Amino acid sequence: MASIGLDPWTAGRVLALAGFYASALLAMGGLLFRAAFPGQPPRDAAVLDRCTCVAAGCGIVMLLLLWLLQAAYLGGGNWASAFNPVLLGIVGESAQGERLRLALVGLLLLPVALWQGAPRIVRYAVGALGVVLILLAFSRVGHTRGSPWQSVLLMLHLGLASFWAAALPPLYRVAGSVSSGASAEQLQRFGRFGLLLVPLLLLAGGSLAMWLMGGRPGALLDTAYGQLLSVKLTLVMGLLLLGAANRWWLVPAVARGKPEAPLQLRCSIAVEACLMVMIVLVAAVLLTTSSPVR
Amino acid sequence: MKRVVTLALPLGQSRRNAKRLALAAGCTLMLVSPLLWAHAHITATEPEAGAILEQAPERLELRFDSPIRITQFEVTGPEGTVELGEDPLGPLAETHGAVPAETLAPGDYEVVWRGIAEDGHTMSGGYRFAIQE
Repeated sequence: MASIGLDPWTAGRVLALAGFYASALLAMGGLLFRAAFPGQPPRDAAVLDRCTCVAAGCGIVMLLLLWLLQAAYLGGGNWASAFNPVLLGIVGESAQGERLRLALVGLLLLPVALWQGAPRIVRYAVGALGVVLILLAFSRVGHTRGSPWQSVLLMLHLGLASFWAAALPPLYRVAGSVSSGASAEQLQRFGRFGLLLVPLLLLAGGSLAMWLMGGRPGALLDTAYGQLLSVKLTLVMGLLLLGAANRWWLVPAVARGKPEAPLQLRCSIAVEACLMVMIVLVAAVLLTTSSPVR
Repeated sequence: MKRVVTLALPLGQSRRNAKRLALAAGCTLMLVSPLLWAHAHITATEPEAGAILEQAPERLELRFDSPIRITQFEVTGPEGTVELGEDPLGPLAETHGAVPAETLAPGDYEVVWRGIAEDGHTMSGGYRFAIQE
């Protein structure tokens, strides 16, 4: 595999970008999960809302940190450049600045959408606007910029991924308290969502990847971008296998009341979460260090 | 007896059709996909990377295949950092040039640059050249 050669500033940017991606996906997904599963117990709903707000806050912090790190990198890799107004202005005026502004507004809107004092229609409208702005922000940097079709594919891919990622913590909690029939029903309901979510996620992500590689599958092996993408795909395969095991084996076992099934399901969900973290990290490396085939 | 034609399909058949449609959409997207070079790439430098020159170059240049904004352009030589008379830092452009403030002395030189492309990707690179005694 082609060496990536991460200097400390690039490593910092990768981590900040991964942090932004993970936080923004969890914040968006939390809101989407709340809308898809409205009948949650009040305590679980409150935990989910709090996680969504914390994730939105972390996303904003990561965005601002990324702004400083980009300026530092562009100035040659030093802290003085991180606070250089000219370099900060250059980043702010670039496509990255556009992403920063859109994502910032979107992330600020998400907690507003959770405020129970507002009418439901207002909360839904604000939440939808926040999610769309964040998804749009993702599409403003990189290969998808200026290409409406690719932007739509990326937005669809990330929207679905956010739902999946944000569903894991609540499902982990539910798997630990499956004595009630309602909990098992919730797990089974998510499994039914998965039947639609996974094919769409793969179709959007796969099409986008093939498009970026010029429709040449060989680029997966003979370009640095493709090789990193292969790592991401391998992790995704692992995720799909776990998802399938949960859907067709562990969740039915939990519903049947098999004693060891809840613990196995929780372990499986935890491994899924770890795989997702790795996928986000690989995606951040892809976005920061390498370019599609040339 | 009249035969009644209905548009409603059995559930299994509509699922198969949905799968075929999704597969066709995916294949179409892959086939119509043009060769995309989304990022800016450096296409040439002046002097060329690795060149051994008999005379000092009057101008140093970086050429890209799409616009980029240069944020760092440093030239180091046998006498340390070279002072540039014309600053290449500026707006988005495909060609960026720098003019040394004084004629370059013989020796080995290294040019290091960084910049940000139109799509927001940050880039960096460098090359070396030498001027003969």
